[in-house]
Amino acid sequence: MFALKMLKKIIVMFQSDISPDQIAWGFALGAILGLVPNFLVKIILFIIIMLFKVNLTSALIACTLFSIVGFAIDPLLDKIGYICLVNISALSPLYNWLYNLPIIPFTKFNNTVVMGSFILGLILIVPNGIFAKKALVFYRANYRDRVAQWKLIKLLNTALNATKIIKKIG
Amino acid sequence: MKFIRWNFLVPTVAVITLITIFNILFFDIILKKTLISSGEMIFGAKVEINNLSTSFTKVSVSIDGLKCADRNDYFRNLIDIDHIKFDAKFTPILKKKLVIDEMTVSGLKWGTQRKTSGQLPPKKEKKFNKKEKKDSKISKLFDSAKNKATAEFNKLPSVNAFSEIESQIKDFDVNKLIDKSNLQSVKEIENLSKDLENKYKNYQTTFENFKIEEKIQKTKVLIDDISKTKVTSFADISKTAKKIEELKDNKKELNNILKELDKAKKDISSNLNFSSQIQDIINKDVNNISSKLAIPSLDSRNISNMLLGQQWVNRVDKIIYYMSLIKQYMPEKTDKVKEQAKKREKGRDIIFAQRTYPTLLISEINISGTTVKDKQTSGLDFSGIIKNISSSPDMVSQPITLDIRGKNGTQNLAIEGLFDHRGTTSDDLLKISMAGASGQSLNIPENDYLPLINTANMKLSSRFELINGEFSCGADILIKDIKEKDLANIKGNMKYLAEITNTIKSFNVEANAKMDESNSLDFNVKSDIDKKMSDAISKLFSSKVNEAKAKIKEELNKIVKEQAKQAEDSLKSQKDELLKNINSQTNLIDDIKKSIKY
Repeated sequence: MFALKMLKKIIVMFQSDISPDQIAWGFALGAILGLVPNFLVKIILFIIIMLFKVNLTSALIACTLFSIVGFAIDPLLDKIGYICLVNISALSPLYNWLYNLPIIPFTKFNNTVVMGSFILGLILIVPNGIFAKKALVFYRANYRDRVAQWKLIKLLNTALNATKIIKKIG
Repeated sequence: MKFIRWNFLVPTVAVITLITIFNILFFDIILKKTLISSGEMIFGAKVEINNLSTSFTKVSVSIDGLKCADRNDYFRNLIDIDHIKFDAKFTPILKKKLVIDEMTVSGLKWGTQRKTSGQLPPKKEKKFNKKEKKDSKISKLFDSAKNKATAEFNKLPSVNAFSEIESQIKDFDVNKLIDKSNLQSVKEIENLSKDLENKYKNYQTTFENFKIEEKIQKTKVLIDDISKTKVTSFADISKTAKKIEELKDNKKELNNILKELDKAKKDISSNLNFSSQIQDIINKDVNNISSKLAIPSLDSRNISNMLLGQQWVNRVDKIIYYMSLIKQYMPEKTDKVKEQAKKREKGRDIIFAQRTYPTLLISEINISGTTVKDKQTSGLDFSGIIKNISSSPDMVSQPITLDIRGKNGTQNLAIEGLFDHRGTTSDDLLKISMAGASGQSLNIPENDYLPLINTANMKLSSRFELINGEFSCGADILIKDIKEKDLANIKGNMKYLAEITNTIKSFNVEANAKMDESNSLDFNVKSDIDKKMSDAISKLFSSKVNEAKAKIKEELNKIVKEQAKQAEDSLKSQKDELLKNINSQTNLIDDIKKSIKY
């Protein structure tokens, strides 16, 4: 059921008129959520995503996608993090200050992978947003109507409606 | 604000607000209950807190009226603190760590009386026992050692010795001690009487054997013959000369008999006085009877062990319990390294300058309080500092130090401690010295066999050491200015004991204990009270024994005189008769001697 619901939500996201900006923001923020391995940072990003009207489905898709990407590019993230934390000595006082603040050390920002993934996520926020928005606009302009005619989509709609009726009767 | 998702924000804020309100209202109660139950699990007795308040803005805790009952005496408080206040650092709390720079403990008292029992309810007691079984190797080790020592002290014969003394004094009766049938002097009178009787008989027999009358008669005949003889011929001369010779021999014999009679007379005529004759034997009898009043011998270490041994064991028990608690909550460093699970490429942690904290760190505790008040002392105000209490001493790189001092006129108190658990070994040292303290703090219950220790002044210097599981301790105690018991209020035989104990004005105690991990125990208590008690007992007893000896002698003389008089009376007639006989025989011999002219 959950898989079907998710599938429907994804289809709705593509086929409906939901604002491309919301979807783009969701995707960009979801990418950071997926990349950063620290639980506390994930919680903070989740709250931000929930707090603002960004598309949750696109955020979820990006989170899943970039979690897998994150595993694959851990060595790269480690290098980026190391450069940021160690090589840019001008930032050391900032890190020292952050390190001695309450709660902040729990974000494990001093870990190379955490810092690397967060930096990469931030760097990718704009490209991800632009990419998501453009891709969606392009899809809606060229493929939305055609996809709407697919038997699979109709079948999925029917199946979900039938499930709802069965639930109500049951 | 159209980009805000209100349907998420509003419930979230509502939930957070509710949690905050709940914490503000109930956090103090929850913390109080947690502290009480943790304390009860540590000390194994009831812990009470009058009031606890926290401040989230200052991250401070204030505790009023903390009372922790003593597991060894449920109607006493081990610790009684009026007020505790500390500010904790906020950041470490988020890491489940408690870091306190300065803590203030005021109105610290110990040994205060409780109105209610401090025993834990059965359920909690069971839980504590289960926990205690698991914990503290040293405590367990000491338990068996303590039981052994207690058994040893209880076996000491001092109590019997005291009871013997008491019963001796109680049962003292001269007449009971004198057993006539066993008196040597009486036997001697009987023997002397028999000897004298035999002697008289012997003299009588001897005199009879002399055949004095026969000899006198023979002499008379000879004298008569010689006087009637008329010398007519040469043969008559020789015949007469022969008779004269015979007469001379008779005279000689009679002279000898006379000498014997005279000697016998002298021998017999001396006064019959048995009692003066057997004076030495009477003295021997007196000594024999007096020996039954001998002072029971006291083992030199008996008294101090009996009086102070158990107290020493209990004191050491308490100290070792607290030392093992410190060891338990401040463990030495272990060589074990926790294995870290890697779920994902972990990266590298870049460490910036930051102080890391142990789970618990109290940098400084300022303590002030009062020692136990008793009848004699008004309690001593003290203050001091405990530094570097920490659950991981290696992180602090400083040992715990303890320095508490108090002075009030002649009274003073000093407690110094060093608990070093850095590295993989531990070294704990606690020194306690007191002067001008009340003897009451020794907790020796008053009894008839002891001087009034509770009224005395005490000077104490003790040292407790626990190095890598090997425990050793020693204490020197001087008890002085002991007041005398009021003899007017003591009745009966206990007066004697009071007289003994009143002679002791001061005494020293030296107590030691040593125990290693192999559970070999060496408890040792020495005191000059043993000698002082023994001397006092001897002194008192010797005067009592001398009194008794005089009574015994008087009584014996009376008995012996009576016995002698009876014997003398029965012998007197025999003696008189014998003397009369000697006199008459002597007179006869004297008369016949006068008739002999040759």
